[in-house]
Amino acid sequence: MADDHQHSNCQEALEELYTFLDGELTVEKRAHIKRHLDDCNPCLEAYDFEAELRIVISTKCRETVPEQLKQRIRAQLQGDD
Amino acid sequence: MADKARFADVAMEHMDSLYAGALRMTRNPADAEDLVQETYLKAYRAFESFEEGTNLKAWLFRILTNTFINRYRQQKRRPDETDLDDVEDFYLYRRLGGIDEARISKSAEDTLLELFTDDEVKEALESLPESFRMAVLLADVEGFAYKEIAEILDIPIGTVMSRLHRGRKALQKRLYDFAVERGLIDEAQETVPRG
Repeated sequence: MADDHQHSNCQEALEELYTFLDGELTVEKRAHIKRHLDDCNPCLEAYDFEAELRIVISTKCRETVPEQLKQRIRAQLQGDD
Repeated sequence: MADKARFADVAMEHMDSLYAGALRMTRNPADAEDLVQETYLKAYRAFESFEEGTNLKAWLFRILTNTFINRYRQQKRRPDETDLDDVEDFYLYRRLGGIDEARISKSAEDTLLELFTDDEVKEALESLPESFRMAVLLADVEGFAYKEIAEILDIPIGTVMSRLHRGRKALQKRLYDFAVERGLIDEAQETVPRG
């Protein structure tokens, strides 16, 4: 029985992984999942991996707007009044 | 009511994000520049309708995505939900042997993620069908909340969640394919090569 209980908690934690990382869970639900992660290393590792991947995606997709585009837009806005 | 004279002061700081979004959507620097320029001009002209205290970056992204959809999108409006293969949840992590049995170490996973080049990650995102790409971009790159994404794309929150769900899986599959192509992962063993 103990194993079944553990398993259903894992399933719940994985189902809620993205809503957790997206910051979209209620405070109660978030605390509930956090308690499970404190006890369950495999789930914690899955969370860590997805969180790390998220950071990699946002970091590697960054861009710097070309300076001449900035200047063009500023000039356009000033000329639009 | 927002004061038009303040527009440049408050809106310019979001331009890097808007430009990154425009690049991912148009996949072309010249079009991306035009899209950002048109977005800022429209936003400036409509700035009096911007509600002070609400999220300016979200408001700008709404104008950007609407402009993109109306002007730059080549194909007809059509549901492209069917363009995505259905793949497993946590595709990349599972292929690395996570969840069921940890076949590679935590440090090997992190190293693998770092080995992806900027261009690979950008290309993986750009390979997603448009509606999925926009949702994933707004959530994972820009960090918008579901409710904000729903408003930006003018779709229900449930649709935001399902697009994110399927888009993220497809993105992971693309990244996995890159890792295999580059020999970062040994496909047969589905594990990181030793040595």
